[in-house]
Amino acid sequence: MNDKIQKLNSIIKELKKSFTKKYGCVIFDISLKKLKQENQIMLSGNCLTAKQLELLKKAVKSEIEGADVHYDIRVLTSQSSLHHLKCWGRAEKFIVNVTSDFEGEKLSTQISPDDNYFKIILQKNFRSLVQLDDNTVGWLDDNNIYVFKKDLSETWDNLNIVRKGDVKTVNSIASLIDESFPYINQARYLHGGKSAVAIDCSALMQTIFRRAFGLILPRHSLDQMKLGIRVPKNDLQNADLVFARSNRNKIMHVGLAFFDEKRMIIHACLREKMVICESIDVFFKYYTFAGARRIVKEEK
Amino acid sequence: MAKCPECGEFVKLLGDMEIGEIIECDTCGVELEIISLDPEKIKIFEEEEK
Ligand SMILES: [Zn+2]
Repeated sequence: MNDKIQKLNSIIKELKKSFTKKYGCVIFDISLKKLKQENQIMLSGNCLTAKQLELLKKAVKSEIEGADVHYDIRVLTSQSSLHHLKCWGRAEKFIVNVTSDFEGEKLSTQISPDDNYFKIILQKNFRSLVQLDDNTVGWLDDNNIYVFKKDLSETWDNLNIVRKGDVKTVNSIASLIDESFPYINQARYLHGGKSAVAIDCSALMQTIFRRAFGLILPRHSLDQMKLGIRVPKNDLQNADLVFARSNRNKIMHVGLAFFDEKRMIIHACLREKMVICESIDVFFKYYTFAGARRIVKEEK
Repeated sequence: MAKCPECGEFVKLLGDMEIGEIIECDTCGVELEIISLDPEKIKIFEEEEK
């Protein structure tokens, strides 16, 4: 039993080290307790993401044989922890950088005062670790935000989140195309960017779907690829999300099918370093099709 | 039919799928990349670092 406990402690320590490296913080406070019954161990405490809990369970399962391990761990970014946090915020400046690291070097996304309230999970040295309503977790500068010391979780109660299998009926798909026009040949490509000046491919999709229909998509193209229903390449329609990998570096990319008179695609293009609207045939000279998803359909 | 490299269950490829398409294993949820259609071959999809 004692060597199992020692092993569990070392798993927790190692995971904590790797998460600290990733987020620059140490919200992985897990304590270990022997239960009355022989061989039973309880792990309890707080962690940041569901993924962290999943990795902990996986490591325990693969490395500790025959121990009966129970979990009482609060995931601070889960839906059930929403009311647990009493500190919320809103962007004060036009473009506020949210970075995955504490130092502020790796841009995850950007927010503006138009965006919803966000949860503040932790504050440290004038930086806040926050969770946005699209589930992005990252750090931002406290002097760029308003902080509300009260529970604003009701602002997240009716979020119109798109999920797997969902195809939302909308009045007019044209409004989606209208929302993308101000970006075409105007906004430059910036990985992690999400503003009218500079944006990346998945943020462009997020922005136009939210502005046109109030729908919330996840921040990353790989997560967007799981939404709605699968569409085969030869059945693409207007407003489908088209996923493709760059032939040059294999990076996953996303664009919006714009099939009006011609078969076009609107996307924040790595090649042109701009948001562009180009023929989908030209697009597929540089990218390899990786899938397509339909998340909206027009009311008949 | 191709076998999921993660869980070993069979994964059904549809006639309209393409080489390069990313699909999910219905059993374990891992993301798979189609690398050949005849014979059917899949591998675990790995995202490139940006
Ligand atoms: Zn599988």
